[in-house]
Amino acid sequence: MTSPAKPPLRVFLVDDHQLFRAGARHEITSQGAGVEIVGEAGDVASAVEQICRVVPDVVLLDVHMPDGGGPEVIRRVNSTCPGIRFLALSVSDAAEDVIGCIRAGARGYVTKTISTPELLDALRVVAAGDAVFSPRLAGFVLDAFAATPEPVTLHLDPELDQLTTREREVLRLIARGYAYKEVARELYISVKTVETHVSAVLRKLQLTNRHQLTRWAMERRLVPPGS
Amino acid sequence: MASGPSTAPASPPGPELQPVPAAPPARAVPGAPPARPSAAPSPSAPAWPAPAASGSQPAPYGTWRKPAARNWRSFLSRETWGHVRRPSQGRLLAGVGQALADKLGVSPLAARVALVALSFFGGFGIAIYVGGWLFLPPEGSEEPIARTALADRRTVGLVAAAASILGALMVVAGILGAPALLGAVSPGLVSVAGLVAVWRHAGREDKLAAERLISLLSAAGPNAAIVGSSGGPVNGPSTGRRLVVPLLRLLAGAGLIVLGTSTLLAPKHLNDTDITVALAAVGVVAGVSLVLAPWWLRLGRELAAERRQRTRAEERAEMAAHLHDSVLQTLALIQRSAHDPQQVQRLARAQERQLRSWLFEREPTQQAGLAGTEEPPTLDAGLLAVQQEVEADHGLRVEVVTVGDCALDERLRALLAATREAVVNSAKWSGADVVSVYAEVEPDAVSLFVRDRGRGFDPAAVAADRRGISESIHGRVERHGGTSSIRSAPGKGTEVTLKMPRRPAP
Repeated sequence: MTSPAKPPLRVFLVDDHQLFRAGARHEITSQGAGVEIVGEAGDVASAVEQICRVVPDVVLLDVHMPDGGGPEVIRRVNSTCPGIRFLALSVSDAAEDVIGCIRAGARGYVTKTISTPELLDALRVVAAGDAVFSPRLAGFVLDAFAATPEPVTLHLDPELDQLTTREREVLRLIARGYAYKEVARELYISVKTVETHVSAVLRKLQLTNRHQLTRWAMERRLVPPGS
Repeated sequence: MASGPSTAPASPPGPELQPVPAAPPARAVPGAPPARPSAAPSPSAPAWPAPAASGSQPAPYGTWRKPAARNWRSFLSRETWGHVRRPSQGRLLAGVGQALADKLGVSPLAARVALVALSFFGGFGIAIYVGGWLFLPPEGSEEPIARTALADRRTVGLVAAAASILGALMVVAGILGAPALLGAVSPGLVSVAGLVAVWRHAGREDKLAAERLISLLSAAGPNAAIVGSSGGPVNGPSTGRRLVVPLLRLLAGAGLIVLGTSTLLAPKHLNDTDITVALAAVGVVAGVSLVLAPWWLRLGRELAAERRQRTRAEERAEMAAHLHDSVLQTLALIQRSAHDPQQVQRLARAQERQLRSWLFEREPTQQAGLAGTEEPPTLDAGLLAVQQEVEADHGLRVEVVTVGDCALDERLRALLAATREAVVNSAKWSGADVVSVYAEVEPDAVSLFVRDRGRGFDPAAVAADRRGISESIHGRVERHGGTSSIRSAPGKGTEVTLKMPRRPAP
């Protein structure tokens, strides 16, 4: 497809289900030109050890595993050999799991029902250093950063704890099912700009100490009718 | 070959048994204390005050009293008892009887009989025994239990607590005029306080022995089983507390029972009034409940454990039933329709959605909504019901994302119905395999977007009489004060936008 000079995308698989690893490996290698599976692991300890050894471009990571799961792998890899990019993959799209993975340092989150072309796209986006926001993740972020008044006593960093109007617009469109390209067309901006906005949101999501984020993950927000 | 090894082990027990019968006679012969190898009478002789040595053999108690009366201080002194050890061999309980026998030059049996006999006179034998236990170090050690016990604050506290309880009982006994109790209680006080100390600081051997003594003592009452079972075998440091507390409780309870019954039976010293009888009854009841409390507690714990286990079994049965009804049935269907990939996909997707909602959703509200028996209570639950229904009927994926949630009212029910219509339209006409639904709840309005990337159409070219869009979507929403719009073009997919104002808060 692309120029032959471009080196293949090196992907590492982490999932405690052997069957799923085999399936993912098969689909990625058969459909993804220019993607190479450089290794796989079925538990946290061997994943950390191997990832630091082979240094892949992207780690495709299952959220639910024994001994701490995906977030634990991310934290341990980041402490020993930082700079590896993670894309979280799970059957669950429960808010705690999604947010937990992103907060640990994953650059995106997709569910296992994702189609193979979409997954390949997501891998490339993460490898390029951008963020992958599924509609559901966008919805979670909008929910978590909802414009509800926070207590004034809380030291909010406006840089980190609030979304800009533009970021909100981008997230809304993603939640509505728009691809980055479609978002760009809709808002008359470039795809690169969309990716910049999304990466900024990811950073806020990872760094904010907004109290709302954790509280919200436990109880869904019921919006009272306006006055 | 096989018979060889089997007969070989049979023969050794024969010769081995021989020495065993030979040993007991030496131990059982009452009249020959000097013959005992471990008796060591010679070291005891120099320490003993001179006149005692000659007359010790025929009348042990006589020799015991005389020097004691004359030289009480030296009798209790370190020089007298400092080298006496409780032997580790041949002891019945803690070896106090043997140690005393060795010291006094009598047979251990005689010492034991004397101790038991003394126990029947107000429990003094037990008190002496416990005293010996505390102050005589075990064989091979220099430290008596008493010294380590005194160094421990908690032991001192516990001993004080035991003593104070018994002291209180004595006072009550004195007030109620049951002097017989006084005699029984005072040596008991010493024994219990001493046993508490032994308990916390004795070695493993002594702990076992103390346990035996306590169950022996309590066997007299109705409580042997309780103490025996709640005490259990000594297997860790926690046992100390497990046995000290029952012991204190047992004594307090038994004391209350005795007080109550004696007051009931002998009320002569008091006025024979109803109050006395009531007091006595209360005492008996309190005593009985104190003694039986651990048994009740254990019964309650066992019942709770059983209930927990039953709940767990029920949960497992429910899960098995659910998996059978859903996953296994679907897998069977999938096997049967393996030739039809579309059908397989549809089944797998519907099943996955259902299983996921069962596993991850907190409330099974969407199931109620699906069954149609109850209105789904919130917007989110309603959208999930729509999602399940359309996925099951039309075999495409419906992705639902909601931001915020709120209770459904009449307007929002209309909005939900319009949304369902839009999703069904996409499923029927677009040819896309995914429909995205996005709902955002704001304080004053709810926005809903239904989008597909299918073949699309020209909205202007749709005949005005097409009921699907004009009536089911536009009409429904607008009648309740909302707005709706459709954006679509051939080949560009379709997006339906709905907005419904929320009823202001009352």
